[in-house]
Amino acid sequence: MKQKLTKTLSVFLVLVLAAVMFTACGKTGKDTPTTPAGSDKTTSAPTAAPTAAAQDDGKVFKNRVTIQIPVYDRGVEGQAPVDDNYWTRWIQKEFGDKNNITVEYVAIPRTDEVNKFNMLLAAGDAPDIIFHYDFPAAVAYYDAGAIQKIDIDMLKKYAPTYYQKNVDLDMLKYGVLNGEQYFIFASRPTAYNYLTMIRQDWLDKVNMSMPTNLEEYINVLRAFRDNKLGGPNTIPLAHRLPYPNGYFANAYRPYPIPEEELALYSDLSVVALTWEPVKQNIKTDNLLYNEKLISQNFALDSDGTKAKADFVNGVAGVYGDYLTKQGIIDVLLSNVPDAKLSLLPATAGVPKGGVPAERAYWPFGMIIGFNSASSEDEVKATMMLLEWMIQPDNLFTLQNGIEGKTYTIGDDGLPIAIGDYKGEERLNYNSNKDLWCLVIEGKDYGSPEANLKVQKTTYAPDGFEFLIQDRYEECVANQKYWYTDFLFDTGISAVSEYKAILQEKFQEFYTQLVMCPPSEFETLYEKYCKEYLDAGFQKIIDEKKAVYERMKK
Amino acid sequence: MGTQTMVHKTAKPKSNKPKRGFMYYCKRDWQLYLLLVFPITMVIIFKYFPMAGLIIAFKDYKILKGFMGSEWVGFKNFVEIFSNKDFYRALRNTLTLNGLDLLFGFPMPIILAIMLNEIRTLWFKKVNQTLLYLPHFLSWVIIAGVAYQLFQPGTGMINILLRNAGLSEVPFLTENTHWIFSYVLIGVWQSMGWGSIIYLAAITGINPELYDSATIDGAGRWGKIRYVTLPGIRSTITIILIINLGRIMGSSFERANSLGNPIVKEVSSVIATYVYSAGIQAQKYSLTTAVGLFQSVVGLILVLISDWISKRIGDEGLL
Amino acid sequence: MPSNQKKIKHSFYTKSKIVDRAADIFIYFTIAFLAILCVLPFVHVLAKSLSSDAKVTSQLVYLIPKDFNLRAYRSVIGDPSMILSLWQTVKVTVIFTALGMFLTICAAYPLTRKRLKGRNIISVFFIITLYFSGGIIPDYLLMHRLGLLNKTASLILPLAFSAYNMIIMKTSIQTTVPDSLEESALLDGANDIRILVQIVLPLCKPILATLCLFYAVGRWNAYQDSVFYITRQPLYLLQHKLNLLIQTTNTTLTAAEAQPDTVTNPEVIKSACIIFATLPIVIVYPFVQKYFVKGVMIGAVKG
Repeated sequence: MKQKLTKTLSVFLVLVLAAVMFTACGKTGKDTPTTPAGSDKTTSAPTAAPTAAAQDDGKVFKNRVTIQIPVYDRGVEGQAPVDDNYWTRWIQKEFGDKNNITVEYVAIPRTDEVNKFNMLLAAGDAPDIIFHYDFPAAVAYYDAGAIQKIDIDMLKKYAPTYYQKNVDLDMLKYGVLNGEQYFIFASRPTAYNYLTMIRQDWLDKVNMSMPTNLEEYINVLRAFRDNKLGGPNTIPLAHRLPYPNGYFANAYRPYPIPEEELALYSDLSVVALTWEPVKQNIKTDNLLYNEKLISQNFALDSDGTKAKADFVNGVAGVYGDYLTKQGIIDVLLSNVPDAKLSLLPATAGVPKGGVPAERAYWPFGMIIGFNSASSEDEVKATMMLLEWMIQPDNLFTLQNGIEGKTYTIGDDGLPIAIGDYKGEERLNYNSNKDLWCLVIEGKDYGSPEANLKVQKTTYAPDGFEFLIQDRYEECVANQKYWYTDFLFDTGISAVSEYKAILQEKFQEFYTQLVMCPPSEFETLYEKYCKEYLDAGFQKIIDEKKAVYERMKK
Repeated sequence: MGTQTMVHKTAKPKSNKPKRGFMYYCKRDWQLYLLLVFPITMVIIFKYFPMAGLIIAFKDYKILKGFMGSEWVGFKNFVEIFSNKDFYRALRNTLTLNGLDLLFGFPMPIILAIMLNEIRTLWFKKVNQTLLYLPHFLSWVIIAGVAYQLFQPGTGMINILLRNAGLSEVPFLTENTHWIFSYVLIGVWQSMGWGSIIYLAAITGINPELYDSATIDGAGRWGKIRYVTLPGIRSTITIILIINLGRIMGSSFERANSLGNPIVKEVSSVIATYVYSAGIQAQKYSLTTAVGLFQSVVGLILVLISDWISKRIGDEGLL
Repeated sequence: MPSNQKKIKHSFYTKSKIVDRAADIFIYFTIAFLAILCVLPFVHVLAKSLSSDAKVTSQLVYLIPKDFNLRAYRSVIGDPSMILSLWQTVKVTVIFTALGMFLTICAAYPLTRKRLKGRNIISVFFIITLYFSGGIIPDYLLMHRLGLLNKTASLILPLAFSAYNMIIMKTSIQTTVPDSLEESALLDGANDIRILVQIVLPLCKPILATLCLFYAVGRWNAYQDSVFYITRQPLYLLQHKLNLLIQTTNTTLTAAEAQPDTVTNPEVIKSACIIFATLPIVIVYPFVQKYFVKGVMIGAVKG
């Protein structure tokens, strides 16, 4: 009796474990979609329509080639799977099947992309393209040996349009590290939707004209404060904790800027805390803070939601952000129906005698490298994908979808999106951007005028298109003062290494410097500069200096 | 090998008993060993295999060279960490915050469990118990968002109430000392309901006859708590305390990162946040692993010491 | 001495009753107060999920929805991938809990037997896993080697054994099951597994219920493994989706990407997702609760 029970139980236990192990191995079939790859398929798909690039070759691939392309997963609610949806299938049908290529998409969690790429690399599973928006991070992949050299001739042959675009926009040089080409780039059309708005009705109330320099601007802010135009808690300027990599101190930079200073201190990733212009800019922020002209809680507002709330509630008078059709101005109007807005000119931030300099974006968007483990065929096929995607017709469809369903053509011949289309052809998050970010960073309709027109209808709510127009005109007028960062001929690895820690430090030091009484500013600044240099900034300067001097020789 | 030395060790004091080989015990307790096979297999596969990766703490890990192919660098990674001022700041803050967490956060679930146990109205008890454990289900990002809406200076609800009551504002989250206590109290609030479950279960296991005889002895409510309930859950308390002591070096990145802000960075930066910016974001996995190894070793040592102490004073231990 | 005093107090019937009453009132009020504190953030999230985008962007919603509407919920529930993820999460949680309980019992019970040779070594062997781990990359490589990537099993097996829960189980067996009970059963000729199944487990119901809850909630709330091991959307756990959604709007994007066709404030949708992902596991608790409210010792010890 007893023994029988024991035996039954032990058998049961073994079975349970076996079952567990079995499910572990057996679960596969259902969950992972089977790939149609396989050499036996080649006969049935004899290179139907080779792309323009491959025409001189006759047919490119006798055997089916499978390429893996990364795609960001942002967890957007209500969206089809990023790696398997109407548009990835469309790419497979229109590009893959015609070229005997299987395009697989690999979802990369946007929030953990570096970890995910490193895991994939460690496991030898990384996709054929390795990309990043951020140059130092891309250099880190290169340092790890994950990126292969790009054969320019191959690029010319299989992706001539893509190559030409890189040449036309003079982008190739950015991808040269130690004399070899490692990265190519998606282009970046200019957008005019980042702008600073000021409450025109407030200006009218205090009877002041639009400020044209910093001194006037501060006086306007003081008037906003003193007249309590936004109620008892008026915040003249809605200020958030700055992005740790967006503090350029443009208004205080010397003009024209000496090249060596540009090389050592102007960097998208790391703020040059020890540089005089940055000091001056922080000092101004300190003044604004101590005079209660900016949000007193700015340091707690790391994502900008509080600044936005202050503005749309009518508490704040000046606010800078990426303009969107919904969520800013329309909300402001629902809270304060008689609010009027104007563009705050860039000169308002510049002290008398200065120039409205701005950092011109890099001409490139996504930075693209090929996995060092990819075979020649895979690289070729990936290049063909880039080439196919950059063709205007294909790109247009990817960005706008299907006429009559996801967009209609307006009187001016430009597409107007149908926002609420729910069918399977609906575009993924942000007009499929995570698919076409491989070739371009925004929508491009062929001419600056067309782009401006579309941007006005895309970003500005009805009746506020003038904001974009004004910003555009300002950009054109000020363009002569704009600068781009110095281009080193190799990656600065100290930047990749210390970037994150310095960014964190900058936010800490900036906050303390802005919030301290003006009398303590100098001593505190000295102290922080020393700590900043010790934390890695000195190493960055040294490395940059060495490279700079070598390049000048 | 391990079992042989074990047999040797335990055999010594009991010299009057005949020495018996490993096979004897295997035969006698085979059912127990059989049961153990399952968890041991799982632990070896899923916990111990990956631990081989810890060697990169002593290497200059390059993703493409792999764990084995990367170059040995000895203690270089550790030297790098221990020569960094920021690491010491993070270490100090970690110990302070975790110490305070232990001081306030550890007793609270026990008190709560005892109080809940004193409630006789069944529906009241059930409803409140469910509500009390809700914060455990909110992520720190959300909790921090709510906390800032409530506690920030000027426009935070609590400070508006304080002002209206004619009191001065309290910089709950913007002054170092206040922030530390806000951090700890929010932590206590978040975990107390969830933490009390284990004690409630332990209290349920207490033999009701003990309460009856305590009543007969004339013990009041307090007496019963003191002489029946607390002794009944004493071993659970000890165990949880020992486990928590081992975690004194660890901290949740999410919690420190969400509740922290640049104003109080001096006290809010902990090891987890330090590792995030110095190691993970810079893709320096060797450094990350070295810090982790340091935390683990300290944790394990603390556990073994407290376990030993606990046994010395006659309590149950982990082992 | 103290007990003497207590007896005297006890004789003043009314006074002791007043003290008792006061203690009751104190306890009831404290508990109610704390419970309200705990439920407020939840109410806040709920209120946001039922409000309009505009009111939430303006940060005007606290505890009561403004411009009440159910749009967010309609879109969350109308999203088939959310329902798939819910199903996946439930499935994983149930299997995970069952396996976890099985392994925990298998480990905890033998380790309570004092006569078991190698007991201490095995305990340390388990406890080490509480404090040491290989790190995310070795874990990933293991999943890769075992071929478990993109398989449900990768969300079940690695975390299925928790040393923490094992220790709690062990302590509980040691305190609730008297050694005498086991010895007499042994004398009756019962073997170990039978003692476990027929005597120990029935006595440990409250702790079994607790550990089930710990395993289930622990699995439900964890997402990191899903983020790394799973790339096929039907297999995503709810918390994985939720985490991507929350973190994406929360991370500082690189300056290079911060030129977006920004979509509208997803705060309302986010709140609705939080409620959607949390509610199912929260309502499990009342079912488990009955095991703590009533003891099971009464019937079991007799005899």
